[in-house]
Amino acid sequence: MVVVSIIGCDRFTAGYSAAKLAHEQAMLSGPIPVRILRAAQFHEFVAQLVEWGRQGEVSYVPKMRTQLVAAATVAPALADLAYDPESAPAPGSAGAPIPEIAGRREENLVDMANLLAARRGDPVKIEGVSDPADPDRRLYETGGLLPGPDATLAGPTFEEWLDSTS
Amino acid sequence: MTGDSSLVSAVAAQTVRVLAWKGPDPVRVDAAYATLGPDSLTARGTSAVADYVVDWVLETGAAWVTRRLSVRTRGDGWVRSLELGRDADGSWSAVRQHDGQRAGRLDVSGLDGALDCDLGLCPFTNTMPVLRHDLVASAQRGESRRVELVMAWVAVPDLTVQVSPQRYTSLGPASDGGAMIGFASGDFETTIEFDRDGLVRVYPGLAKPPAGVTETSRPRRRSRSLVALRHSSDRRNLAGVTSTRHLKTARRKLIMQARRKIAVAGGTGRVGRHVVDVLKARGHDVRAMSRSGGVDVVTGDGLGEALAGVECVIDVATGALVRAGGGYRVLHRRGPELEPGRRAGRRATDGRGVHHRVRPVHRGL
Repeated sequence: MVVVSIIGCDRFTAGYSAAKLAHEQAMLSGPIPVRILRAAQFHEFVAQLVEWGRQGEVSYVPKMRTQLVAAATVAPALADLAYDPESAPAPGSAGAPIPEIAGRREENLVDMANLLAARRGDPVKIEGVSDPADPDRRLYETGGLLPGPDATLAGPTFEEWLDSTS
Repeated sequence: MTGDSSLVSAVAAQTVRVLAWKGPDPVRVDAAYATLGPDSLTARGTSAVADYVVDWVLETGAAWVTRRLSVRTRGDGWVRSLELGRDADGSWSAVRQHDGQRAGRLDVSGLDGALDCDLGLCPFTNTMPVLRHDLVASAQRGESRRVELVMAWVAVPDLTVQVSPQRYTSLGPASDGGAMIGFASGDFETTIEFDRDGLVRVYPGLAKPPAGVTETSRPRRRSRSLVALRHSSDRRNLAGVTSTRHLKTARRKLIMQARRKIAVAGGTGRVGRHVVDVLKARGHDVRAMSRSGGVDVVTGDGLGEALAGVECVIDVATGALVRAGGGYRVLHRRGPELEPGRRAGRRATDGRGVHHRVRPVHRGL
């Protein structure tokens, strides 16, 4: 089996990321060999967050450092793992970190949300927020979602992606 | 000054690419340095395999039509060379020298009408026909367009020249503006992944980007840019070549070339639809599992049928987490309550009696 997960999910105690870690562990505990690829947040995720956070004329999006990557960039890497299992070491084997894939550069989610709204002519005002009830909020803001030094980095950047999809 | 500025614009129209590929054979590596002009290219490159090394220089004229291919192969105690040329009238010539004997002309009369050379096993020489026929753009538009060609095929390491009818078919887009293109010649058929510049990214069983090496800045078309390679440690590249490794890689080559049944959980989703496209373009038998298609990986509805005969599952179904929690922010706030939860376990049996156990999701988050 091949499973897509999230970079940094093992650092989080709550939320979607922690759920993905549980997902990874559930998969690994089964009898079928599993290859996991941890990806950064997808470009497509920015628009979703803007919609979720929209309250009237303002959209509240979480402050987040993220190395956004295109879903279309992650897909071939997942496909590779499906028929080329040795391209990734078995998780849990000694000295074999779970592979990561991310975009070519770190972005600030609030800036990217602003860029998206500007490109779409959406008059919404973007406001970066930090949820004090979230025990992991500091991780989002201090790079807990960023890839490690051995990650595969691949474009397009969020801005190039916007250019190509708009 | 006008001379200078035209030189500047001529240089500005070129793209320089530094390319590296690693083959499934643990000691096969290919590298090339290419200068891509608006309708022509020059390139030089090298391959190393267990028994010999190859180096080559390629030059095309307008419309990427081959002008010259110079190749040399060298093994333990032998060396061969070939000078293959096509003049402006379309006449081919080939001069081959081997094992210290006198250089001799090869009969290349059958090559009339051929525009391209194809250096055997070299992942670079698929580029010219793809560029001339604009197959990357066709693939990006999702068109299936077939092009029949005759190539001057150079056998490696013998360095003999043969007429080779080939067929290229655009299949669909790949990541980063790239393309999946079908290739067929005689009995051989495969699907090659090209990048936006029409250069081979993945040639199944032959070449793929080496792990840990990525181009840190991707040049844009028509802009001059130098490409730096970032190397990170790759333990596997450093590993010694053993007979076990040979066996493993031979097996892997077979796996990679075989058509496989692969199910994609969340196959209509944000990532899943791209995964399905890629697998289909690579010639696999793909089943997209989605609730809209009657397969629910949370409840298990339809799962047994969907997994019958499937050799691999790619799980990109994360919507269930969002669905169950009513949205990211809700999940986010409910985070501390999260637990792995009850896991839906389902068994499916394929034709050979192999059990697949799927534990997809954390129900009831």
